[in-house]
Amino acid sequence: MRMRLAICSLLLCLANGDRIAFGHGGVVLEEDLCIINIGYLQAHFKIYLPQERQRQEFCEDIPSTGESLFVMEYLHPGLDEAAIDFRVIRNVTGLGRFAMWEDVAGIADLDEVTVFYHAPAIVPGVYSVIHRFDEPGEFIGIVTAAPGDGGAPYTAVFPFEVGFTGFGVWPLILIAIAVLQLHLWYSGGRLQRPFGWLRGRFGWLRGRFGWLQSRLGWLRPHFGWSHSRLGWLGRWPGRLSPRGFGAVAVLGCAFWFASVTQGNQATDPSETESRTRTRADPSETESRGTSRAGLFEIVSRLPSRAGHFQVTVAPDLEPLAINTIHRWVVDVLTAEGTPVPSAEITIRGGMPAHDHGLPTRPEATRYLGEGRYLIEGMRFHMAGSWEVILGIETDAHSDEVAISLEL
Amino acid sequence: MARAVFAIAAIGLAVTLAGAAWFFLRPAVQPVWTDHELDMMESLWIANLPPLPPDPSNAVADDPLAARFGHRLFFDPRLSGNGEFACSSCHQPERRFTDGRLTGAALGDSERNTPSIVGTAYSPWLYWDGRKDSQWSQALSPLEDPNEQGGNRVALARLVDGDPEYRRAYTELFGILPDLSDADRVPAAAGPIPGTFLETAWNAMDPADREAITRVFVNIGKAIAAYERLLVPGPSRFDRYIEAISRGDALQAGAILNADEATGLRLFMGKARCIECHNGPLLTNNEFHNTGIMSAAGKIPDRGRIDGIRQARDDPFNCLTDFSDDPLKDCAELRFARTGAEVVGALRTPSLRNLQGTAPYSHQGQTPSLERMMLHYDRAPLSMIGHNEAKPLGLSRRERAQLEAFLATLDAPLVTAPQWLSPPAESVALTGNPPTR
Repeated sequence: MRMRLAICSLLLCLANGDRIAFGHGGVVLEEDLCIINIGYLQAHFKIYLPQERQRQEFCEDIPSTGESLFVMEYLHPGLDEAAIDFRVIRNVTGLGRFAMWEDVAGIADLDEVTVFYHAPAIVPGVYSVIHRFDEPGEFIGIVTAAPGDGGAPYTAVFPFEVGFTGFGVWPLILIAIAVLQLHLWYSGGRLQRPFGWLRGRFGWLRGRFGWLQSRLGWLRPHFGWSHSRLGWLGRWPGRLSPRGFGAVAVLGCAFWFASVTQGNQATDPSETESRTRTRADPSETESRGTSRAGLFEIVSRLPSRAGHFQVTVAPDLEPLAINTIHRWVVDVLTAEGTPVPSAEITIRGGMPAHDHGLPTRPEATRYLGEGRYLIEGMRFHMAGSWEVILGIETDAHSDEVAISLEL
Repeated sequence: MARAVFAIAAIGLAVTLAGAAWFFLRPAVQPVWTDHELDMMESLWIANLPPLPPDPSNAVADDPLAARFGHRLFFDPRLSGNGEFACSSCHQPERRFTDGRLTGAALGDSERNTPSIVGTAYSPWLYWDGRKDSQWSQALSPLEDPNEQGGNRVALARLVDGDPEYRRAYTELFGILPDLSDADRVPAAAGPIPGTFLETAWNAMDPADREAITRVFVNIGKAIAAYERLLVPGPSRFDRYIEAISRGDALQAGAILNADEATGLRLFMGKARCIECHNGPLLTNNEFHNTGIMSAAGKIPDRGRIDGIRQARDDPFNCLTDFSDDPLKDCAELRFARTGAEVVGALRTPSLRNLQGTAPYSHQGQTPSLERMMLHYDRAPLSMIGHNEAKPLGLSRRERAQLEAFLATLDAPLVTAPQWLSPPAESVALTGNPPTR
């Protein structure tokens, strides 16, 4: 029974294997994330079929024709300023999914085989194009990015299929089943005649591999299959020892792991999301000044994390409220209480519970004298717990102070 | 024995059925509010809506004559290229200043759903993607957009110049109009509309004439904005409920909102987390959020704010330009606006006041009903571009219906006097009238 379970789990893993896709050309899977490499410029690559598969993500092959949405979320800031063009051609290289840039470059008339072209454009943050495939077939996507500094353009080429994505690993499963069944028949004595003939012909091979047999001899008792007419699935695992079961289980788990880590579609999309997102991370702060908003001074002489400075913050909005842009005056003193001139103040923050940053990008715009700095552009757009982190940098020290606010 | 087993089974079945019936059919009860909930409710109360914020970029923002002039302009189809489309063609007063279409349509088709104008005086940003930072600069865009009113600024200046009433109102508000009589210097129609003959004609004009005509164009926008500022939502059933609750009159409150609507309000502020973005008396924070709404068929996902902020910064009519009347040019919202990954696919939170009759919803009208909208936020699916800020809520069907019931209680006539909500009477002279508000 255990054995049967093990085999079934193994088969299930294999069946899952249509997710096992190996990157071709410029698109590769890296730890669950579909990545396109345009030279050194990387982007998170995904294809959607919004009408047929709603929000399901595909990495390169797409299962049906129709409206396809190609999305590249930049992982390298260089793409924000790069002029990107996107071309899809019919794969006429005859090389299927092994076509490379050299093969594409060899195509005499690129325009003739082009089914979709989007002229170079600078689009910050994310690039997306939509194309309707009317016919299934093999295609090649060509993405060119010309960096903003005027350098030579980089190109990524990725062959993909539309409408038919192959048999996956099903042929392998069928072969494995056939081999098992043949072995059973053979050991059950049913194939004595043909195998006897084979043995006569190739008996000499046995002598050659005798050493292998003696090496693997220890496995034999663990896989002592019973001979029966009921078929291998019924009786074959009859006398499987714990060790043998362990071996099959390990193999099954290895396959499962492989299929999960190489999944064609991101199996844990939330993880994918978090990787592609940048956000202010207001965490791990030891010195927190908690204050009830409404006081004119929201913190008073709050020591910084490493204790180099003390900070007093006075907003020009009283009481502190949401949805109103306002300024802060930040008073920076040394630990001893003398004003700190010519410090560089940076502001970041957000709502730790909500995974988002500030709705604006506030800046320290002016030094008001006596250690006081003007911060402009503060705004909060939700009620709840906010954290604002002021970075303070002088020639001597670099430190920060976290201010917690309850709005 | 068998009879006992049968009896036990029957009793078990009855209890289960009764339990299920209770669970699905039990009447909602009027909530007893916590102090925290009462604070939140007060923050949504229209009585806490501050007075109209000043618009220093528009010197005539609070001028009654400018509002009357803007009222005329808003309803005047002569402002369009073919004389058929006024601002009010898409921003229809009887539909809460929306048009009931998926996406706007006038001379051509717009990319997005027509948003309401009501309460926009309180927003630092206009349009779904916030590509405009004042009401007056927003009002200029449709006038020259070939898909919307498709006019041009020279023709608009000529319209004001040629209509005696407009001319008088304009002169009184902004001073004398430039001389448009020399057809060699100023053609009949011209404007910087890319790729058109109007652009060619515009570029051929003297820069000083172009500047003078652009001033007239800007002033038309400022008059329209002076009118639009008057469109402010009024107290709804929900506001009367808060008023009763804050008086401690639970009995009357219970007569204003039924138990389902009040439970919907509780969900709105709690489990459903709507209040995080739909906050304040207008039930919007006027910020930009990616909520994973799927694009309409054949459309790439809307890039939203990441493009909107770029356009706002490059806008020739933004807060930092000379067309703004603010001598200080503080422009903090524009100067300190954020960009980056967080605003990819982010769109402006719409106000939830007066949703009735403004369907379909969402930036391309993809959401046909509030019921579907509740379902969307309940599921909070992944965004195709950017990151959906919303999280799945785990609401029951009944809770979604209660939320919807609550939203209906936000419907109310505007506080704006009725004469502003219909086309102006032609017989009443623009100038020399006492201001009516």
